[in-house]
Amino acid sequence: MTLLNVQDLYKNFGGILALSQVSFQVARGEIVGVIGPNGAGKTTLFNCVTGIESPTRGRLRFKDLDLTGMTPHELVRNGMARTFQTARAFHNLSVIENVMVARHIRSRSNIFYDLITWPKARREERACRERAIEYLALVKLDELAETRADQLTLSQARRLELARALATEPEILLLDEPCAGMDEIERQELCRLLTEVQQLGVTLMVIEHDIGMVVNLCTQIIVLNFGRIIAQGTPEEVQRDEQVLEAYLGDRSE
Amino acid sequence: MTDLFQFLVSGFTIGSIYALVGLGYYLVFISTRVINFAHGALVQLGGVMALSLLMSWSLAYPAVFLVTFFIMAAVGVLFEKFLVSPSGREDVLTSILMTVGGFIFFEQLIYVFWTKDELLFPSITGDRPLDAFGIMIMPQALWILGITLVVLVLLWLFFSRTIHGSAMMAAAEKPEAALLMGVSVKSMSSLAWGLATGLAALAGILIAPITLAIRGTRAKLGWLGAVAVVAVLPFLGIEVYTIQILTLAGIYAIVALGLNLVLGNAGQISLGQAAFFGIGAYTTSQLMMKSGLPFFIGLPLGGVLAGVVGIGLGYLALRFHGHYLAMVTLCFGLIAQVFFLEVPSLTNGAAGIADIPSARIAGMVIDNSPQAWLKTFHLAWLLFIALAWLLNNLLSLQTGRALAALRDDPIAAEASGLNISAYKVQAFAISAILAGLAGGVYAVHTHYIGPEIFGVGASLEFLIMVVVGGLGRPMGAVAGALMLAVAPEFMRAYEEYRLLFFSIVLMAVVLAAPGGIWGLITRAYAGVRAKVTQADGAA
Repeated sequence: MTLLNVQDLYKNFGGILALSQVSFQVARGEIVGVIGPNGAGKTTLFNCVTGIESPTRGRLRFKDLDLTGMTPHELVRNGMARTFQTARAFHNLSVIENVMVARHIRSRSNIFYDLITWPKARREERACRERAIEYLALVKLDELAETRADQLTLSQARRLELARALATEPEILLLDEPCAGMDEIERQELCRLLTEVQQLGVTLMVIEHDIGMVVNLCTQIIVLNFGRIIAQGTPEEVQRDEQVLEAYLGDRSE
Repeated sequence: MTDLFQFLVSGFTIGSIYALVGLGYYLVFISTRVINFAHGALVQLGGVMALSLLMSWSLAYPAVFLVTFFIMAAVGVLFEKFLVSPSGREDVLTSILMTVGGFIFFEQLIYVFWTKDELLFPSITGDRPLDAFGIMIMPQALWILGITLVVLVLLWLFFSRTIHGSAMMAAAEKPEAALLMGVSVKSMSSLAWGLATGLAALAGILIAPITLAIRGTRAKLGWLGAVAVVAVLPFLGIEVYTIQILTLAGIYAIVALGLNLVLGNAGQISLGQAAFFGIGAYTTSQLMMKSGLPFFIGLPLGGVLAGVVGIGLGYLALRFHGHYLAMVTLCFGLIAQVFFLEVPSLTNGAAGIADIPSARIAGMVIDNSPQAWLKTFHLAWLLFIALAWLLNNLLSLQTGRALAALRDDPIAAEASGLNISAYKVQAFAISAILAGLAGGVYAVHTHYIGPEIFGVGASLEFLIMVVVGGLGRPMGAVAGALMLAVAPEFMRAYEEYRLLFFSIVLMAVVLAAPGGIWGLITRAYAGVRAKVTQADGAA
């Protein structure tokens, strides 16, 4: 069953085509890898899908809803979350508060309850904190819950961002280079974590440079080059593709 | 029946604490005619200091009592001798500023040195309640009752039986006469402050196991204390003129509180806050004068209208950032002033609206005249406290987190599901409502409003209050408002240079102390603390 359906996406930055004719489908439960050389348009693709940039042309369908032109927070409400290439934690908040922010969309309290700290507001706050701890435990950050987010190491900050994204209870989660800057052990740990997340029923899209990791992890791979999809399919299919070998591994074979 | 006794026991316990705290206020006031706003903070300081002695130095409980009492007594004596007394005992305003400053200082001191530790204070003899005929009594309650009783008896003996006690009473009643009788008024003041602060520390130690353990109780005591101070302050022989100025400070503080939300919490700029102040003032007075509505209906309607306009400005603000937003809000302020001037059917034009009646409650006039028991002063400051409480609630829950998040990283905030546009508009609306309410109170306080009051100059003064007081710090609003309301009194001869002076202060603060007065204190002590920790590490 198709969860995300991207049709004929174009993104034009002042005459430079960052994306053109990008179409693909993601089925529920998949882990989709997005690979390609630097500047191929991978992050732009994520930005267009998650509403941070608006595509010049094209349609986005998600769970049979037309999401074209929706703002990021509306997309989050509809079940689409993402993380960023450079870990973007809220530095002035504690680790747990970072995750609690992502729970706001699930809160049943409102400004009027909050103003007078009505019992409902307090109940919701407690529930929010308890759920946030669960997500932190999932990424093994629960012991650092009260630490300020700017004290975290890069690997911890990335895991925090993952917990924050998961706390919005997404159906699809887009991860922009979740392993960047991690060492081998941390990468393997993260791969295990992503598999765990997939088993919880979250569909994943991952931008990643480590081909080995993508091949091991993903059910489908999309290869971008110069803003176009040059290959798409199962890891085996993509690995055999001539164009991919040329674009991606070209300089290695020379 | 057991319920009744249970209530009595807890009532007496809480009453004893209030008695100990209140005694301190009373001693200081009768002997030096100063309301020590810092007293509440000194109570807490005593508590946390004792905690350190108990936990880090592992002193025994009785020793902790003694050591804390004497350290804090010394703190009180020094505070009086070097800061409160030289600032001029005759001048009520300066001593108020000084003790308010002291309150901020001691609060921040606690914040910087102690909040990071676990504040779990052990009770004197455990937490197992005693069962007396079905009434559950915490042993701590007995200690509180007992120690309060002992202190009261000792104080009574001191005042009625000792020469120092009599001398102190004499110095308090008639300082000149006492001087002639050979009593050193100065040392009597020191004695009173030392005693009062020592008692504050005892109260702090006794209530620490109760209040520090329960999160929020400390804060609740603070709010109640603020209400109590506001309620009694005008009846302590302060001149009507001073009360008038303090009322103005309260009105400004409400506006500053709202502007602080936009500027400090939402990270947006608004240079047109006086427009909302004006909208509230005009709406409230016209509803009272033309429609004959009572003040307490006109006031909220003024706030609502200002809020509706604020939502409009908030949506406009979404399209602009930084300097452009500053210009847009500045223009909005200018347009509003032109509106006040050029639409006489609503605003009476350049002549303004004079003879605005006082607010009334149940037929009784509310103003600052000596015979009124409910004063405009109360109106302004109680409204401020109520609004500050509501805002504090809001900011301690999701809204505060969301605003901090969107200030840190708006894109990541959106990607975490926050509707940052809605939060920005909300901040503008709330700040407009607060300014509107303040305007309504202003109208019945001064009885005259005109377009010249609600110009860009006023908007800038509000801005200065928030920035100089301390961005993102509600207490900064109070500090800033007090400064702008009170300072002109000291520079009346240089009235026309007032804004010149404030502009220099503003630039100096932006350059040298981005956190404002409040932030400066916090930072200074974070530095000291860092050095202390370093020295500890080296040793």
